[in-house]
Amino acid sequence: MTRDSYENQLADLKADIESMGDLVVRRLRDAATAYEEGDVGLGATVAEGDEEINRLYLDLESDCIDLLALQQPVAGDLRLVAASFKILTDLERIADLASNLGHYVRSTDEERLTSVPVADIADMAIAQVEAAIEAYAAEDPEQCRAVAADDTDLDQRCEAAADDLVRFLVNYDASTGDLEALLADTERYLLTVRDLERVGDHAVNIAARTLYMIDNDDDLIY
Amino acid sequence: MPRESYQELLEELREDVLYMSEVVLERFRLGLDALEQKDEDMAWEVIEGDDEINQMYLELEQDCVDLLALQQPVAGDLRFIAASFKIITDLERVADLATNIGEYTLDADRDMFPEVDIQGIADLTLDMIEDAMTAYADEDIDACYEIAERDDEIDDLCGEASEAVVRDLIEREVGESADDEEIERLMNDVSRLLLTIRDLERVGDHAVNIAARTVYMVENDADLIY
Repeated sequence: MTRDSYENQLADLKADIESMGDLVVRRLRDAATAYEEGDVGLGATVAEGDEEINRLYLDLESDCIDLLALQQPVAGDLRLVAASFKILTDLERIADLASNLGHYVRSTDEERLTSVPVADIADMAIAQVEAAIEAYAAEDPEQCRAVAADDTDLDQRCEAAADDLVRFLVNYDASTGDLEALLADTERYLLTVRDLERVGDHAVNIAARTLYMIDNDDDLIY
Repeated sequence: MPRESYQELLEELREDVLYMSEVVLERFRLGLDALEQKDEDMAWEVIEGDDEINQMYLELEQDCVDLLALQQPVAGDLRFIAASFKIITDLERVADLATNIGEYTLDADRDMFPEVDIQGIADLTLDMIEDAMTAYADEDIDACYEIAERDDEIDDLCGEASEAVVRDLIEREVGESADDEEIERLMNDVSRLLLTIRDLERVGDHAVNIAARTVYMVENDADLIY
């Protein structure tokens, strides 16, 4: 009976982490949509809706600690709880980055840097988070490694986007147009790209922790 | 050989986490010196030294898990171990950022933006980490809140620094005469500088994470956590 409830607690924890992951992905997707469509209202909704995630985060963290302290799990179970404890932090950080993205939303008619491929980069980053959560749910080591490998593509994409912007600015004729507005747009754009790159880094952290959990292999941890 | 007492194990964990922070800070300062002096040997020392920190990280993590699972700590002790478990992740990330600084040193070409005070901002962020660790060691809540406030200043400084770079870039007369190589070098320098500024801002964020975890540990107050 006690043992059974312990097994249930582990299964519940895993399912809870997965649903938190889904929730975070949904917020990220809403933020990306808001950014792409210049939907300031939706952006604000995402930016201000972080409370739910934060509460979930501390509740689940507390569940992990209770499991560790009261059930004294060993081997694979222990690694599952420890991995979940760390993955929670990454999910919470991704939600923070979704909030940031919500803050950056401006209506499209104010957009001066229209050629920038934020939507593509956002799609790549979101796909990475989804893949990492799937890898955790399915305990799939191959998928973990794939997430780590694909992060290089995302990083290169972000780097190329920043380079394009710098090239644009070098060639920009400072005597025309509204310089302050351009500066503000530039900063916002650089922050957006940086945050999406960080989303990818957190996806790798999740994959690395998952691999450590499944195979006790710290290959991807650092 | 008697088993170490539970209290001794807790004290040892605290000392080990503090020791890890000292090693990480030392590494970061070495990375900054390398950047300042364009010293590639020093840069490699930082990059290659990351393995040692990673090892330390996983060992400490294991100690935390063992303490949680084997000693069944309660209340304050439990929060102390959980906080330590999280704080070492922040320290390991700061060490990763130190290796970034090492890598930028290797990429560095020339200093085109002398007005950006990287070393000055870096000193402030490293002080924040140091103070956050002291706050953790002394369980000093006031210091934790003060660190969180200082982070706003760092964010402002980093924002101003990035803006200075971008403004300089827009106003810089590259002109028709500039060849591709010239532009390539300029872009490389700009990217490197913006990344460095971003990394320093992240060091400040990690200091706040450490302070936030310390507040949560001492007072069970999640105020700064998010």
